[in-house]
Amino acid sequence: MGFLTCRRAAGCLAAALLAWISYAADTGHGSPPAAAHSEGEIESAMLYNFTKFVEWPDRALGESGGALVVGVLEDDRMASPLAAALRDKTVHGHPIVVRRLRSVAEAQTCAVLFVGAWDRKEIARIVQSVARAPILTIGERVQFSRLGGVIAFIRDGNRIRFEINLDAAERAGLQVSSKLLRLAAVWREAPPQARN
Amino acid sequence: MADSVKLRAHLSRPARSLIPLAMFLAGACLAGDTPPSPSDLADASLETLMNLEVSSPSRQEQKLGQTASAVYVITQDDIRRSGMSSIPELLRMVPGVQVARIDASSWSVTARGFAGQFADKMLVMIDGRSIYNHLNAGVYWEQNAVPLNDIERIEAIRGPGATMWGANAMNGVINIITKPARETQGLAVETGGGSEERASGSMRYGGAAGNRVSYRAYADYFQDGPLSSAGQAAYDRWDSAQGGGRLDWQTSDRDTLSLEGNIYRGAAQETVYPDYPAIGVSPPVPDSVALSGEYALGRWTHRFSERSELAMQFSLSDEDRVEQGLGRLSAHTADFDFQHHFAYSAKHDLMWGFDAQIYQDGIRPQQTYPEPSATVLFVPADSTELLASLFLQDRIALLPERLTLTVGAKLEQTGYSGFDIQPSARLLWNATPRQGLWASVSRAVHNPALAERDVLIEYQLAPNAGVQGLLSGNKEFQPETALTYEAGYRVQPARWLTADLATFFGIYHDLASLDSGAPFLQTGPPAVLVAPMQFGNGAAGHTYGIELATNWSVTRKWRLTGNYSWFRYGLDRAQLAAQSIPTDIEGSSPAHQVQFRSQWDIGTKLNFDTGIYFVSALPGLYIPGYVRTDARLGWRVTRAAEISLVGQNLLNGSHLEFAPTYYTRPTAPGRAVQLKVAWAF
Repeated sequence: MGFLTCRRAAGCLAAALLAWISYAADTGHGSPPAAAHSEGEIESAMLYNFTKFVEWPDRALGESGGALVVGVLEDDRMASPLAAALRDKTVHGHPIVVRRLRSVAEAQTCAVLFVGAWDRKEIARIVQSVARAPILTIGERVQFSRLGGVIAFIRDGNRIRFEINLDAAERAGLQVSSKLLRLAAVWREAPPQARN
Repeated sequence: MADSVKLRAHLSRPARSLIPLAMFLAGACLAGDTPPSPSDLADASLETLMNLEVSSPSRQEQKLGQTASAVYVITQDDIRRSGMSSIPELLRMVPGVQVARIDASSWSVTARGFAGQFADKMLVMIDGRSIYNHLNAGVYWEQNAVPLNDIERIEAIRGPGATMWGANAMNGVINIITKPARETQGLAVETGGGSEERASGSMRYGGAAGNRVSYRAYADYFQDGPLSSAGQAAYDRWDSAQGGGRLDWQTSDRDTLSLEGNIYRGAAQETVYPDYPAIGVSPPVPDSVALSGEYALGRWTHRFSERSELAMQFSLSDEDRVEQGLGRLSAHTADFDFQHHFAYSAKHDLMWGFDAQIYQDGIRPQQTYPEPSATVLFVPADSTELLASLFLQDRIALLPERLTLTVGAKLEQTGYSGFDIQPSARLLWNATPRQGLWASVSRAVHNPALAERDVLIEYQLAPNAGVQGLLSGNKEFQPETALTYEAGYRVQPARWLTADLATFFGIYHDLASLDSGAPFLQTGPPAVLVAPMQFGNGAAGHTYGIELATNWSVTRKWRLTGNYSWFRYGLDRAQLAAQSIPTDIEGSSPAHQVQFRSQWDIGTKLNFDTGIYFVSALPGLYIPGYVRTDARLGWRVTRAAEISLVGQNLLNGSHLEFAPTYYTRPTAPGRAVQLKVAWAF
């Protein structure tokens, strides 16, 4: 390869590199870089987001300034990332408190109930016992929303999605904002023709 | 002495190649600016959170988009919507992977060249357990028919993965990862029938005991084939039945225990050349193969903290294969694997581990073919080998989130080929979160197959003239080596568009060859002239190519995928001795492969999916190029039931995808339709 072609090639390469760098810099702002977060951390942050897009019936949360209680049932994995994510956070003017529950009977004061169980019978039992209460029930795996829970986290490869059971939300008297529904997979318990 | 010289030579080549990398790196450091500090996760928007990838520090689940290598992932959704019914067929979706069906039950699957029924430069693993067969060096796909519904994803890594993964990952690694038991709860039943895969049925039940224990058990059966041969139904029907299960037990907040097991039985018909390797002296004959095997696997993972995790895995596998003509091949493998990952500091993310594999392979001849045919012996008939390896890798954040250098090496020791080192260096530059530019250099070795060392085949060359061939293994056979340079660029210019480009240049030394010796007269009676051949390391060559994967979400309900690959293999003729024939045939891989796939949701109940695959000719094997067209219509009748109609090879008739490179006579896949019904309760 002659000296001239060598220099020309280097020049072309440098120009291409410059163009690429300037393109890269242009597209630089966007979502934050993907740092390593555990499933529990991401789900906790998503749970906090859900509370912002759900409206409880007036009586449910009590006075402004009273705590919004997030109960954690049958799970040891989520309690600490949840507590970390929700520390010093408020929603609709209510400070958030995370509480570990020993049984579903303690859930009556909660606005949000995270259910760690994945045994179907266990999920069904928990979900049924709070079905008419104004509680946003959140669980893991798709069977949770299929069994009557309001929101289920769904693992999609390495990402986390969620499904909302609208019938369950209606039963609990919760208003789910359209923004949340747009991002969710929506599940209805009966096909549309059968519902009316 | 000779060993130390060899080692130094191995070390110096990658070291030299690091210089341009270092220069590039210095330039990139100057160009980069300080990255944004990680924000409080809870204040991030839902959209952002939904796009975050969950970190899983174990080797199997590294964030693939962030790796400096050519990776392609087939998801469960892709599997279901492809309508394909076996793992090798699914791998047609991966750009740069060449899949050629040889007959109903065997395939050649390879990346970046070196195709063959036993494509020996690919490592295939199911849940971290290698299914590489050491006797023939390759994978018996028909002995590893994992139920497709239980697969979470298939990761196909093209290019050398030897540093991190097991032995023989010279040209690629395929990781088949099954779903955790908690993802397969309830009862699922599936049944189908069609023109090529005649009948299939499967059943799975998943349950849980309390919160921490979940399990599944499954059983399935299918009958595939026959394909066709010269317009007639071929003799290659394949029946397979298996059962297995998995149990996941979260013994504490930090510990998870998984147990898996499987047992299978199968029968495959095939048509073979009884005089292999001298194909054509006598006519092909029907043969039948009885397949059986089982495995058990236990894995324990312990999380010390968010930054440190260890995993240990132990598995036992048996494979048994009785071929009427060849004899009984059996393989027993015990494998122990340990790995520890820990984020040593914000800058250094370390991973190290070791692996010990003991495998015992045997072959018992049993001659039933009519004469003249070859006799195949292994000397010794049984062999036990230990393969031990140690790896260390450091992922260095030169600039957090921006510039990552991954360096590592694997030390490997085998009883017969001694000690080898397989280092790699990979650099990834994420100028923005949405794009990545990477480059790598790595050295990989491929350990000799038992056949290359121990085989002894006597075959007739000209039976009436008293001329016999003798093919023998070579105890001095050395590992084949490859030095591979790769570079790639991944970009997501918009949320709905991704493109992934990889290029590579590989230099191969000590490739297997068949070296002819001087013919000699073997005194009789009757006296025969013997033309001997022996395995040697006489060949060398180089590969280069491009692989492009693109994905376009046209609307929320319509997704298009377009993949292209270009590949060249050049044999270094100057280095090839006159008496050597390379075992890897030039032109056994296509120069071009193009595919388009469309996944379309029509309303909420219908899926219509199509795929077109173009594979250019294999000039070395005299196989013309072909187009394969697939379509699938899926109808979700109720919440629990789905009916699907699959058509394969719709526009083209039967065509051969491969030529004989081994004793199995290839047959031609043709147009096929299949109806499937699935319920999940």
